[in-house]
Amino acid sequence: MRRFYPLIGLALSVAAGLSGCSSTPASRAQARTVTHRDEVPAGPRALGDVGDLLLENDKVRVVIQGPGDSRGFGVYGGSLLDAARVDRNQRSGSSAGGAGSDQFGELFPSFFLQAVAVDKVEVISSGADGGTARVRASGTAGDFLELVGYLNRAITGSNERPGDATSTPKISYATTYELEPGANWLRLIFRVENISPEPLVFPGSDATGLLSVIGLPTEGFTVPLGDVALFGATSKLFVPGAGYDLRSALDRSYDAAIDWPAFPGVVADWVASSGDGVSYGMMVEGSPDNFVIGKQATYAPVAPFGVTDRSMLIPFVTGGFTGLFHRQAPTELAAGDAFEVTKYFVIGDGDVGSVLDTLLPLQGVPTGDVRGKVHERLGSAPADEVTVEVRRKAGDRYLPYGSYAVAAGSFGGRLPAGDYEAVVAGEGRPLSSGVAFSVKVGEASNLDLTAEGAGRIAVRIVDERGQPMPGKATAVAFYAEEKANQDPRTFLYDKAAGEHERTTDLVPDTADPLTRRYIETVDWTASGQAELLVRPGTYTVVGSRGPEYGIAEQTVTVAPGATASVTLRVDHLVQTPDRLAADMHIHSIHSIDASFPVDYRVRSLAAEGVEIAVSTDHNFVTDFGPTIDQLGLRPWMTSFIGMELTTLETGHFNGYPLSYKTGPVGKGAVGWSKRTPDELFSALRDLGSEGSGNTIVQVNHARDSILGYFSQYNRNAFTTLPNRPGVFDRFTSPTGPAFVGADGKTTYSENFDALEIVNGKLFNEIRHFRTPASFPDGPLPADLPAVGTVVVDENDAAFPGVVDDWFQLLNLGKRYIGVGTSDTHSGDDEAGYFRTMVRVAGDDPRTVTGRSFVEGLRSRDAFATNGPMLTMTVNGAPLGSTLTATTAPVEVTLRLAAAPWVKVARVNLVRNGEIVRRFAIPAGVDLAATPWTETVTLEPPTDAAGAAKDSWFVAEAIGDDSLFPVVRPVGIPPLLITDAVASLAAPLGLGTDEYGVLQPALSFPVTAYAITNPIWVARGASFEPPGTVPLARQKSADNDPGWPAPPLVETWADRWAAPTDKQKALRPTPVVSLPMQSLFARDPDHPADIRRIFAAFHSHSGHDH
Amino acid sequence: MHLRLATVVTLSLLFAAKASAQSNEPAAEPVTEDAAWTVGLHGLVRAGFDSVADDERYDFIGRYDGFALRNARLILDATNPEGFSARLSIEGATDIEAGGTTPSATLDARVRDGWLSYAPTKSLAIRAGQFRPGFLAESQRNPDTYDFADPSLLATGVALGAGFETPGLALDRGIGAEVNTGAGITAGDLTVRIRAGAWNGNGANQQLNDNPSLAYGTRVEFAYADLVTLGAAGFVNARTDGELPDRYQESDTGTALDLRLSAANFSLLAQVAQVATSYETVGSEDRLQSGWAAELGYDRSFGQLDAGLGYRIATLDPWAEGSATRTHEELSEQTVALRIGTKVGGLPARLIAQHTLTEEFESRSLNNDRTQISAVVAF
Repeated sequence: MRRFYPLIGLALSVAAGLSGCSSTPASRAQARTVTHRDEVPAGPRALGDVGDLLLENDKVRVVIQGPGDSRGFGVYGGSLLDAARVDRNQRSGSSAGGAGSDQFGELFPSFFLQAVAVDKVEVISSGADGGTARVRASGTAGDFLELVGYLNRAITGSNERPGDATSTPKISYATTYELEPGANWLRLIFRVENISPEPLVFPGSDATGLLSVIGLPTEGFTVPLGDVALFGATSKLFVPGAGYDLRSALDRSYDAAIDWPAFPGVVADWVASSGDGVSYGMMVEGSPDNFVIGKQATYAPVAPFGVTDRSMLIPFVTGGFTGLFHRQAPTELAAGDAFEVTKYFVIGDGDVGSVLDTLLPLQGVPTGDVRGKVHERLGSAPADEVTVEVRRKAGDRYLPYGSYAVAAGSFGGRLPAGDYEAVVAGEGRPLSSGVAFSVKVGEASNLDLTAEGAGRIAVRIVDERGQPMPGKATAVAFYAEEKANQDPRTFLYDKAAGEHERTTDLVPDTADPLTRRYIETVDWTASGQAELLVRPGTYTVVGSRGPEYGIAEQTVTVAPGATASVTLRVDHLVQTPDRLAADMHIHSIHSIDASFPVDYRVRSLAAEGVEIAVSTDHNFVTDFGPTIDQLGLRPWMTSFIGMELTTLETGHFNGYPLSYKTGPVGKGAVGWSKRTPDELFSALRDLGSEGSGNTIVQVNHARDSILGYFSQYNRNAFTTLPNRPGVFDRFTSPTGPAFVGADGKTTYSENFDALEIVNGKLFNEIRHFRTPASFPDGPLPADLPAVGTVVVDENDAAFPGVVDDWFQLLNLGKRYIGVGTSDTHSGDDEAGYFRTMVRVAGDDPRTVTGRSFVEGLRSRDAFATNGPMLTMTVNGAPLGSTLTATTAPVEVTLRLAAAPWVKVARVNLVRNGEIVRRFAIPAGVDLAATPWTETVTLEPPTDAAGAAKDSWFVAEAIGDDSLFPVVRPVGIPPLLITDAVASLAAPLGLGTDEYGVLQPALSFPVTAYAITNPIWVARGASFEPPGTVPLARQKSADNDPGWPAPPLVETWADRWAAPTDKQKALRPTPVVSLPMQSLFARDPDHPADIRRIFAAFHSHSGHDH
Repeated sequence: MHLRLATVVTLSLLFAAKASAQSNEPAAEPVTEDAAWTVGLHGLVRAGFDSVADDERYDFIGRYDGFALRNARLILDATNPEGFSARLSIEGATDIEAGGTTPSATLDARVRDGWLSYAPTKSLAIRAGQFRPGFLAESQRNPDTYDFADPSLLATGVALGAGFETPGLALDRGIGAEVNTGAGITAGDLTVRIRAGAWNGNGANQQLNDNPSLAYGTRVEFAYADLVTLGAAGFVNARTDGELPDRYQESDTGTALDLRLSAANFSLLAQVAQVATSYETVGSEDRLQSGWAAELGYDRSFGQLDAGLGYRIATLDPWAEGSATRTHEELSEQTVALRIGTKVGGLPARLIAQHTLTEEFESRSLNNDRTQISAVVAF
């Protein structure tokens, strides 16, 4: 407490002790280098390590990463990496990290879309003097995305030559992180300094020329500065006016006409998040150079609470990334001059309200207090596990403004003066009625609120013998007929108030209630005992356990506060001897864009019948094994350790089975920045637990635009060869060392083992998109391709599918293992859909080893499925076989089994990439009890000259009917970075929409699909690849697999019925006439196309972000 | 390596004990079939009141003033003439949270001691079960003999609510076995007491070891008459921290020295200890925790009443060696105590009132001086 002196005598000590009181020393803040893990915050997102910089005081503790590659999801060090409250119950840290609950991803500044390549992070003020502690991270321009590197350098003038990232820098950047004693907020000062001998103009002269070329006036265009904040999936983002539903607000903004030189987006004076024990907020200091207020006329009409000099524009939020623009650069910066942007980062204690309590005073907003009690309607006990959602009056509407966690029935905080209403929300509780109140400056408003009672359904899932087993329970209900075809967000749930989405069946609504179904909630159980918290009402409870099992249903009615119990017997109907269901693409809480804790994740895997689970978090190595043990699931499943090596631009690659390294923060994760695919593949193999030679490297969602390996390397979907560079390439091609080798050649590598041919709900990337027989309302290209033919852009598929890529690779002799995975991130993209049914020795997960799993995959005796169990033999040889010295006709036998809830309409037999037989599967047949089989005899294929060729066979099964409710439809597609780019690219005038509604659906029911690995047939001793199929035959309707058309219903879902990530980027531009070629000849899928720059940076569709 | 060391120590102890027995003890009596067990039930209750100054900045420091139940212990001892003995002690005031008492923790009953012992001679005993390894001198005392209301900062660190929680250097109980010299090996006025043992090293009430490594430790005391006792202790413990799959190997090496003087109603106990930790898995730099404590007491009897004054000064530095960027984080406490003892209804009882002045390293300075009252009755 205070300085005292050694023993000066007992009596004196007694006297001193009894009178001991003192003045209070000032609180301290300090900045220092981390020397031990127990100094940095712990928590699900904690990535701080020894050597980073720590800023701490009595309230908060934050970590600024040292220089180097980002340990988070960005590119460079020097960013804000961890942030946590000093936990009052903190315990001593350990090697794993200190106490506290960090849930923050990363925060780094951006100048337009340019990041800072930080080369120095240093303590400026240690705080030892009792003042502010400061850390500074400084560097020069760095490419966050190489694709826009040229554009960035041109606009910011950051380098001597825009086309050369290594040319002399003309701008230096620095962020100073300041922490004051006693503050639960951080001040960040971003400084941009002209270090060139010449004045700089913004936008740079190169950009001015570029914009002129494409016909855009530079008048009024100011270069925005901002931040990229990764709040992470465990933090729910809250924006005033939009509440927790930023997604819908952004949609509205994209639909609004925001013209150049402004960008669409949501305008707010602050953003905040809520989470478990910690929440975050961001705001900026008022400035006349504020980006939004600089375009006040544009933004004021769409800003629900008005525009101020501290307003921020949120152009996108996706995959955990939130973009914030808040400042415009001066039009000119003299040599040696600098300008600064001041921002504030607030750390609350778990709810938005605690952030507001700090943030509003920082903004200088006069406030009053709101305090209240929340009691249960049933029994009047103080309510817990509920939130109070506060809506502020804006015009004649009440719009979301705050959110308060309720503890023991109490809540409270600060609000600006105004009129409000409050509602109480909670899981399974109907939203309470709004209670209006007013806040006056300096006064307190007291509220007495009531929480409505939740219903509870206890579900017991048992097998045929009555033994409890892992399974999934789904509560399904109907909405009223008068709500038919309305947007469910308007009546079924209030996402702005924090309620979760209720997925509807996407079936055209009629008088039949079965067309108006929605999923109220889902639970996964490891023990057989699930719990569903539901709003009181009548539900059909559905029990399931993956596609090998049937489903069971029971209808119950639940009253408020009541519990209904059901027991569901789920039968094992489809036997898959010697095959195990493997999912090799699974995310947990250790991924920035996933929220499921590991135990939830493992439960969900077991409940969906996944027997081999491979953990693949983004750049983080996770081990499910101990959790499987703890949950007693060993008889049901096993796991292998893997990782999704996640780059920003060169693709996503899984490696497995890997070793788990306890010591490193990332548990063995390797860096990716500036590394070529070959280097990445080698790095993954080096982590292999079975040795590098027995490590599978898998290319994920290869056509996922900016996240897709094939797309990013501009591989032609018909030939697999690189496309010819287009005119735009010079400006928007990635040219860094990851893409281009020292010899100037592409770094694309074929040295991978497996190709993810089907991924979760990325149905639009399975097969090349073909012209459907019917369309939603909307514009169509003038030269509409024939029905059933591939929609082509120049000589490439406009919307390529990975299965077709794979076919052509097989034709070239590339024997990549075809796998199906779920890429599950949450509960909305179910684990195990897709899955790979791989043959291993025995049908017991406990007997599988890493080596036998790898050998099973390498045998290619496997098929990918989300329901149908489709196998094939050729002359009796199983999948993956190579028949040699076979010149006679071959006998192909197909076998299809499926649980009754999995409907298959057709099976295609594919030879050398072309459909050679089509089979209609009769409806109404129980394929579990009586599997469908068919045997055909085929002559060897011949080339154009009539000479026999070697061949390979693949079979695919396609269904037309929804797998609802076991597999959720894609109702609201995830917000894509496409949308971000849409918001940026459209005003840039690059938004000519070539396809209109001629695009694959992003909103659709999930239907059945399965595809086998090949069986090769060689005439000689070895297989001679037949070569790619001629373009005309690939495009031909004869090769149309018969993909189900999405329902063309006039519902709210139509808004997503056609757009793809590409189109969404273009949506703001009115579609008029639709020439198939745009102004600038370009190569589809090539990064040269700015319309694709962010297209699908995304979210591999089924992701719930 | 550790196993070999333990073997050597054990054999040495056995040899010394055997030599002592041969020279000082009568021959062991033959075992009789009707040897009777003596069973004794003991216990103590220790309760008190704590008041910590309210720190202005931390609302969890000083906001939990009130009564505290420090011990509610029941002890069952059983001995028989053959040298077998057993102890089971149950503590009913165990904070089930790990570490120091937390304001929100619930008290629960937990086993403290649970061991079996066999003493073939007065100077040799082997025991196995759960016990507290010999390390700090003050940890060898039972709570009813405490001269202060709480153990020193060196031993138990800072409890939550009294400051930023900081573990002390006292060793927790563990399940294991040890060889000891019982009452000691005596030669004239000089007595040597030795304990050497191995235990799991993962804390009390843990059924199994958490890794394949045992902790090893020894404590040696040299006592001259009842005037001077010089003690030295050490242990090594290869621990495993964290939960699966994140199991972190860490190794502690502890050493302690202490001196106890007692004469003319004055008593002095001085202790110095340190624990060095290396982090094999993570590779962080090694950590050294160290501290010292000294307590001076003056006690007199006034008929049925015993009264005394005590003064204690203790320090604890969780980062004694600091680092290039980390300063020492030394904590210090000075305590003065007034204690009164008597018999209440034939049972020994003691009342202690004390006040503690605290001092923290500069950047974590707190207003958290505290006043405590403690009453104990043993039976």
